[in-house]
Amino acid sequence: MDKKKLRNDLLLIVPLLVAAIIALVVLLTRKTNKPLVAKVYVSNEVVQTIDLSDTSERDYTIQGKNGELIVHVHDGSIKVSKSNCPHQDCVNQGEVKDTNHPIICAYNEVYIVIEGASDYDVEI
Amino acid sequence: MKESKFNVHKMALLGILTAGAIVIGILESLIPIIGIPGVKLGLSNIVILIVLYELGVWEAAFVSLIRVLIVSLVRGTFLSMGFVMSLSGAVLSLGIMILFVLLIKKFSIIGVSVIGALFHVFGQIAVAMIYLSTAYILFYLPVIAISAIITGVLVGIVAQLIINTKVIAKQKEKYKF
Amino acid sequence: MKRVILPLLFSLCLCSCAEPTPEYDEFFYGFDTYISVKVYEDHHYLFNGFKQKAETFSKECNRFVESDVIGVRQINSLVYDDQWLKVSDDLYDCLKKAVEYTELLKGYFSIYLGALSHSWDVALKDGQVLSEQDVEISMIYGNGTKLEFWEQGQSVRKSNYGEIDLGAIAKGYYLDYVKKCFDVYDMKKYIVDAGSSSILLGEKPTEDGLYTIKIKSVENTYIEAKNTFLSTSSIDNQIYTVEGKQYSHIIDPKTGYPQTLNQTCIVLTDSGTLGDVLSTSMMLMDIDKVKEAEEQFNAKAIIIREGQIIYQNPNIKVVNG
Repeated sequence: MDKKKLRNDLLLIVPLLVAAIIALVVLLTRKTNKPLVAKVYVSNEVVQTIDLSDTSERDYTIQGKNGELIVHVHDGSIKVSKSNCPHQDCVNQGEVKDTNHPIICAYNEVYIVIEGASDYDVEI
Repeated sequence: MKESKFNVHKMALLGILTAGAIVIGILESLIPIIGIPGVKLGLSNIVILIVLYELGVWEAAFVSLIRVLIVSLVRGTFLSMGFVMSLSGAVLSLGIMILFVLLIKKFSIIGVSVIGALFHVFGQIAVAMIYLSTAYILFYLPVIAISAIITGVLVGIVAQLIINTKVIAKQKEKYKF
Repeated sequence: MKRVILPLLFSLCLCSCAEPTPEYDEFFYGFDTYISVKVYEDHHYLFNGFKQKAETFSKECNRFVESDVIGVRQINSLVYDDQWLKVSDDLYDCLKKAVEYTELLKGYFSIYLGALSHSWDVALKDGQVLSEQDVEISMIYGNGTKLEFWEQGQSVRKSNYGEIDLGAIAKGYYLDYVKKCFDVYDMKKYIVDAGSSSILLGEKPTEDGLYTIKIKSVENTYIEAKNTFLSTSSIDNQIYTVEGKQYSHIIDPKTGYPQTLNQTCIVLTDSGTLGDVLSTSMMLMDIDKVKEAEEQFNAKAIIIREGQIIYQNPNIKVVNG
């Protein structure tokens, strides 16, 4: 193998890898001091805002584009416990507690994102 | 013997290689990547790279596109978002790899493989973002990019090792294509 | 002992900073959007009726989808039949109000232009504009259409080819129903949000009881309000541009074209139906007319153009930042 080409490879790969790792670290260390809420989007509209500082165990039924999902909230974490989507990616994602892991169900156009609570009660 | 584009032996070889790419594609589609549905490891790039380096640009395009088509038909995702994601990933990755192989000749097969893997993932994520109209998917980009770079290196090494065995080179010489 | 007290005090403080939790927190689909009901008091079995009512009434008001109830769809198919159609209490009442408002707000609001607004919708989504002729014909049909009422039979009769469109008014009417239910049971602390365009505010269970409502059309601005209906009409994210001209989804009853004067109108009233009607009508009004309407209907409005508030009623608390 050409030594020169290999050196060029490293010059290409290492910066890319480093950049990706830095991006990952920055993402993971994002923090918010506000109480957390989970926002459930269906086809890009927020259909439910769930207060995660309420630690009681509860379920929400979400009407997605092609079916129903059951979202389970307990003790500050949220997960999709049941969904009619074929791949079950959203269910396999498991529990999410922080702002860096959106749960996405492409089949139903549903995604769940955790954010710091909005200062407002409603937005018009 | 005239060098012909429609050499039967070449077709047969392409057929076998395409089948290989398809099988790898089907197997890897069974591995779930957490977070975004439809993002794949990109292992079938081993075959694409080999074809690109040993047989040519059009041949690589053929193998790649047929692979996307057949895998989606077999898995039942034809024309779904996953299909468009794979297609976009395949096209972008192929495009950038062809660019690197033909014009920017400064990198070895490993570098090409990595950049191909990255663009493959970019293509998939871009389509997912359009379909779901959301930027939240980008949360997963760093993790997936790191995985793409690492698999890219491994794929490149495997491809080079197979090329080194001269299996295809010997076929080319024997059947003059 | 100290090691227990400090953390306990700390978490107690945190608890008081947290958002109050509703006793009843439901959301459901209706009127092509999601309705959220939050009540901060002990609730009653009555609340299950909300979902049912939303479902039924939204089916009645829906002019496209076939369903098991008699509603606007059937009314719109009446032309020459001379037939009286019996409808539900709610629909009868709602239609009566709608016709009344069409009369009172002539030139700014009409429920008879359903066919025209649908044609515009179809054309604009396709990147087309309706021809002058098409608009003229639809206007003649629409303006020539009348809805008659027969009180005893609780029936209505429509003449001519115009089509009724209750889209601008249905959610507000539903919220009026919800408020009546709350009043019967003397509930005071609630917030009902129907797709953000129609909102019913009771009191928030905090000291001042005020809800904070962020205005998306203007930067860094929000309203503080309680015990009122809040209706919003806006062309944000709903503009079609064809051949360089911009078109919205609100038809001007004077011209038949979907072009509005204002970007967003927010109206506070004591009736959901009225609020919805006014917020739609005011999109076509200049400030003088807005003030006139405020007085006539005892309402308070905020008018926004190009991301700025160009008029706000002095009795609404608007906060910047």
